[in-house]
Amino acid sequence: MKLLDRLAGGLALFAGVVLFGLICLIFTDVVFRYLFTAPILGVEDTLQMGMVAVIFGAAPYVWRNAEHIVVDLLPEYRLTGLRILRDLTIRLLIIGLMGLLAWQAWVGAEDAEFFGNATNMIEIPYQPFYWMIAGSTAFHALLALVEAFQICTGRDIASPTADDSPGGEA
Amino acid sequence: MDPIYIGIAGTVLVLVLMSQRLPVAFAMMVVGLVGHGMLDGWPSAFSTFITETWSTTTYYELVVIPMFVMMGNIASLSGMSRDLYNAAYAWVGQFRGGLAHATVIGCTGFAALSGSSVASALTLGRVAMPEMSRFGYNSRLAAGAVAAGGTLGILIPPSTGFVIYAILTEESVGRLFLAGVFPGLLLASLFLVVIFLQTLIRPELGPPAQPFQWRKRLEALGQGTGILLIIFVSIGGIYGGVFTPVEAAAVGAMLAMMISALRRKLSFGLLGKALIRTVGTTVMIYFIIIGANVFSPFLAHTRIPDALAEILVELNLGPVAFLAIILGTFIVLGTFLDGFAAMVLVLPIVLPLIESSAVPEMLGFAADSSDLRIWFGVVMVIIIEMALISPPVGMNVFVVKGVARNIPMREIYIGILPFWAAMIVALLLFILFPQICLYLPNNMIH
Repeated sequence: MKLLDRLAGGLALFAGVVLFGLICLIFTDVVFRYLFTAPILGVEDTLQMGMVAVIFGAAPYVWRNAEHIVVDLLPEYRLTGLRILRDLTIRLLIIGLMGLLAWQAWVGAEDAEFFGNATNMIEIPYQPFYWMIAGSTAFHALLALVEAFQICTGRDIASPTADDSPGGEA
Repeated sequence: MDPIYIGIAGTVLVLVLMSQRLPVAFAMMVVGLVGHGMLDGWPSAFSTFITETWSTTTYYELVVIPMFVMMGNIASLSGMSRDLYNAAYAWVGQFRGGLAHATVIGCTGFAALSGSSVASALTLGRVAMPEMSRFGYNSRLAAGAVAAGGTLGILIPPSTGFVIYAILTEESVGRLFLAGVFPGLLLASLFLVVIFLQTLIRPELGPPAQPFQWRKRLEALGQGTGILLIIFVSIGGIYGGVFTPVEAAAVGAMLAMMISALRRKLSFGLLGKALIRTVGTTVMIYFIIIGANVFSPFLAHTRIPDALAEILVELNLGPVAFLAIILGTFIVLGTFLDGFAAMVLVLPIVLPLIESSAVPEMLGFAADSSDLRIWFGVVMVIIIEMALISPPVGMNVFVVKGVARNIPMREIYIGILPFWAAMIVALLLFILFPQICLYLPNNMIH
């Protein structure tokens, strides 16, 4: 799991670097537009595709660090068996959801290649970004699978749902 | 099976999954996907899932979220929030309840840098709670001021609450940001009145601090100029029509980094931390929106909103009673659910109901007008704010508890009550005078 966590952390760092690049790009575009009347072509296209890298680069890390909003409405189960059953069910649902998304993104990538789908202004092809979604969500599902395995074998995992404070940021 | 029954079962299932600690975003995805599959067939459900994921992720207007979150994170990590608090402290600290006033004023300023209430409460709480404790402030008053002041983060632009509302209702982010300005300032003023009245009745709740010399006051104000510059350029840029919201957010984030660097407070470590925090919050918000975008079409397909509208028409309620029921339900729901979760879950049902009722007429709007949706956006955000400080899942209360561990939760909730009442007053004012919300968006954006 440590290796997978490192990979998730590395991907999140990559997402952060991409985000920093996007901030710089917009800032440069604004400066060029107002000072030199020369806006950069394709900023919107780059932002749209860049956000795919940001979101799906960091998604596995966010899952592992329990940053999704969780509603702690009911007190924690006292029976360990119930807690394990709940945690396992959550992982199975995540595996199903993310696995399905990975499959559909793969299909989307093939469709994007077949139809030649690309952004409007500078024609960035969609296909690599669909692959990115497929790869990230497959990795997300793998993380949940390893967590499920660890729950089954009774190992202590840094469970996203074990956190007492809900990870929202309203 | 009748689609309405499938819809009711789906809504109940979402609540059950959430209560079992499945993250809100995934609960909506699971139910939206399964419900859609049952109603329209699985190929259509799968296609909706990837289409909504792609269109949300590549939606240009949403880029405003990571940019403003980054601006707030840099401002928070580089100590700008402390500068804001210090400036307010230097000017009003010597009055009765002055430090609590300074907390709310600091929160108001920080709210213009950050779109997050939790971030506002956390950053200002870390600075203000120890100071108020040092001067012997009543812990209820101190906790209430931080928790309630922090909620201004999502009302005063930039606001993640408004961005999500804008995406769900296809409204303009810029207009919603403008709509939040006067209500935000009004609510901040009401919080100040609450503190004033409490310390007027019981002066021992907030003893005055040592007064600052004029030179120190001006110095403290000078420290805040960087923040004022960021607010002026980024938020002022939207109002002046110089930037789009996305551009304003990016320029604000870049300015925050530049000012921090000039003050020698920006290191690679701090930048990395801010970026990781920002992508974390961004993913969390994007996944909520994807979940809502998968769940909402399913709910619309079940015709639950239409059925509810028919029931309410048959009840023949007046607009006031109708609005009271809707808002009351939201407020109660907000106390049990996370505010965002309540909004994304219920908005697809409630907004059509409001539009088809006599409420728009009562408020002087056309039934499906943009003004109505903008006004309701402000009302929604106030309700999210109330949810943030309501038991049992008020996030800002947890934040205050985290900052001041010695204060019992019960004390914090009691301290919050007068501020909660101020929010109800604000809500009533916005219903009686909708122009408070609409004046800026209707006069500054053409």
